[in-house]
Amino acid sequence: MVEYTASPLDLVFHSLADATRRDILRRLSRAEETIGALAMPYKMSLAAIAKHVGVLEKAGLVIKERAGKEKVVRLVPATLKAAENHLSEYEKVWAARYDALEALLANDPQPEEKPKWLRSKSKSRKTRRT
Amino acid sequence: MATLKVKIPENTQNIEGVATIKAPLAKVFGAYTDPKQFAQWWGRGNPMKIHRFDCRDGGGWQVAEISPDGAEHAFFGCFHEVTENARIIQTFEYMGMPERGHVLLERADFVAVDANTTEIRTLGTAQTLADRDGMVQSGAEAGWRKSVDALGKLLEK
Repeated sequence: MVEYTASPLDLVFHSLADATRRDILRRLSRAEETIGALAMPYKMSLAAIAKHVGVLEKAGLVIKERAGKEKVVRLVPATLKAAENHLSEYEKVWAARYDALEALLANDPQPEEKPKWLRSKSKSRKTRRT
Repeated sequence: MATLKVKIPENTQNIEGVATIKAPLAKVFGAYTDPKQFAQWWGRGNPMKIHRFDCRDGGGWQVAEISPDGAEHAFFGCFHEVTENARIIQTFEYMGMPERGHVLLERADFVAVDANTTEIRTLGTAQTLADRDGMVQSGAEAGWRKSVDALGKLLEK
């Protein structure tokens, strides 16, 4: 379920590691846009936005399609879904858990008295009651 | 920051993980076995209720995580083996499932990499492939729109 052949995930994650590109994806999740329309809210040249769109296109996250005179950029949800599946809910939950665990231990919590029932590595399992 | 690598091997019912925690082995093991400490990290910031936590061979556990919307998500299972500073073998299931028995059998081995670094190697085996994939992807149906934001937040860390 987690291995994908459609688009190398490295490219997808590289594409997503940029705030402008993520913002472009958010906007494209609502509607397809021309590059000109995409560029408008940003303090960036049209060429710079076109380059960002190119990175997203190479990763398979968007496609460019001709609509009359202009090209529109459209989201490819399946690619994003593949990336989301790769970073599974399980992984996100456990990554957050381990961060919380590490943060807790950084505060050096005082352990309760050592429980007697913990099996020690060195002791034999066959301890008999006397 | 703690690191985690997860593998979801094809043609298996397994979930494999390797986590690296910047803390000494005994401390990490203590945070897994002391219910007070366990309650402070397992919920990732969400409050926890510890109903039972009999952390020994054959002991049972039952906990609940309270999500920000107030919903209580309960989990329970059994400690099959608890060997100090070495391993915990346990079962895990989510009580929100329509029937009981969708169990993940999980083995966690604790290894000291150095005095202040601990590796936790986990091997979880689900009863069926569908169970495994369900556990891996639970929440995925929330939709790809939400995923953009989640992924973004994750990558901004």
